[in-house]
Amino acid sequence: MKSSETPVARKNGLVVQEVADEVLVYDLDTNKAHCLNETAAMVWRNCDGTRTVSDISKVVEGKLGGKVNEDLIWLALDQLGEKDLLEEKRELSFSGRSRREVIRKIGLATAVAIPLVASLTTPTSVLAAASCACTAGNPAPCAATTCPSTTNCNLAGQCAP
Amino acid sequence: MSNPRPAKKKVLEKELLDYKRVGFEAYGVKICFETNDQGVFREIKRSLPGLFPGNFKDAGFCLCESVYRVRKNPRNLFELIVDGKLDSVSPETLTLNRFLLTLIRLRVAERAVGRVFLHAGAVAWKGKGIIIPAGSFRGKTTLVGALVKKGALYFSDEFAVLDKNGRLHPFPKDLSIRSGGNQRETPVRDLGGRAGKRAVPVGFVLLTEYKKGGSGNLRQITPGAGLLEVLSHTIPIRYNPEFTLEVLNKTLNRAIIAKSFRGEAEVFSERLLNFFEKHLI
Repeated sequence: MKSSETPVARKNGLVVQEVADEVLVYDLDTNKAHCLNETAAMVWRNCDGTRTVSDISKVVEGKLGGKVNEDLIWLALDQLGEKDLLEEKRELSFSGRSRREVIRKIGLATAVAIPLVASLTTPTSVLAAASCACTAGNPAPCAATTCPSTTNCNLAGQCAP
Repeated sequence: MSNPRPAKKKVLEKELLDYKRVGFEAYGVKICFETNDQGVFREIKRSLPGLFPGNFKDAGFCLCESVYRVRKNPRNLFELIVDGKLDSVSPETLTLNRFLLTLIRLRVAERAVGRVFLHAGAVAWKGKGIIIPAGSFRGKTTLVGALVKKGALYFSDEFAVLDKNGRLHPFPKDLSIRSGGNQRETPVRDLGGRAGKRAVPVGFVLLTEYKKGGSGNLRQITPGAGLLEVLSHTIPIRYNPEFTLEVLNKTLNRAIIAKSFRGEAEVFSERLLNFFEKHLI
C-alpha cells in the first residue's frame, strides 16, 4: 500500500456502536467483536475511499491535537486490515522495520495514543458461556466450558470434580 | 422394499399420544415441555414457575418457540430431546431434570423479547445498580450474598436483566449457595436481605473474580474495553447482536466500569461499596 492509496472501511456485515471515544464493531460473519481505541476509531472512520493516508494523518492530527506521523496511520491500517475491517486486505509495509520498531518510533514522536484494536470471539454456546450444568455420567457439555472440570460431570450435575 | 421412515413416524406419533404436556411463556418466549414419565412431569411442572420469578405464565401447548421432551425409552434410559434433536441420555432423572431446567432458562435468556440477559450477579445500592458479570464458579453468589448482608437490594445471583434503555430489572431467584460440593437454594430473606422490586439505572459494572490473597484494588477501564469484556457473559449476543449491543452501550456509557482480583467477599464488599459511594453517590 502506498501513501497515495485511499483505504476503504468495511461497512457490510458489521454492527457498529460508538462507545464514548471508542468504537465497538461486531462482525456478523465471524461473531467477533473488536474494540477500536480513539486513534484507531478515528483512522477507521476516515477510511472513506477518498482520503489518502497522508490526508488521514492530517485529519487525526487536527482532531487529536498532537503531531501525527504517517507511520501511526499505517499501524492502525495494519491492525484494521488484519481484523478484516477494511474492504481490501493488503500487505502493509513498514519499510523493512518490524511492527515493534514502528511502535517504539511512534511512541517517541507523538503524544497521540498508539492505535489499538482489541478483539474477542463471542461464545459459541450459550450453555458453555453461562452454565456448568450437565447430566451425571455425560460430561460432553463440559468440554467447551471454563468450568472447574471440562472432562467430568459430577453427581450433582455440575462440570466439576 | 418399503420405506421404514413413515412406519417409525407412526410409532412416534402413537407414543406421543400418551405424553403429558405443559406450555408456558416467560419474557415473551413460549416454551413447551412433554414427557412420558409421570415423575419427571411432576418435577418439571413444579419447578418451572420458580425459573422465572415474576415473569411466568401458563400457556397452551402450541406455537412454541422450543419444545423440550424427556422420553423414557424401553431400556429405562431418559432421553432429553430438544426441538426434535437428541441432546443427552441419562440413567437417572435428578441431574437430567436440573440440566433440562438450565437449558430452558438459558433459552429464554437468549431469546427474551426486549430484554438483554447478562450472566452476572446484580444488586442495587442507593438507587443504582451494580452488575458483576462472571462465569460459573467464579464467586458471583458469594459476593452478591456479602453485598446483600451489607444492605444492598438483591436483584439476582445469576442474571442481570436489562431493558431497552439499559435499566436493570430484578430477577430475584433464590441464591444458589454452594457448600462442600452441594448447592442449596437460599431465599434472600434467609441472609437478612431484601429483593429489589423496581428497575434501576446501572451505576457500576464490576469485572472480578476470586483470587486467594487478591488485593481487591479496583482499576477503572474504558467503556469500550468494558463492553468487550462483558460480551463474554452476554447471553443473546449471537442471537440478536444489534439490539444487544445497543442496550449494552446505553448501560455501560453511564456506568463506572472497573476490574479487580478480589480476596474474601466480606472484606471486598465493604471496599466495593465505599468505592461506589465515593465515585457515584
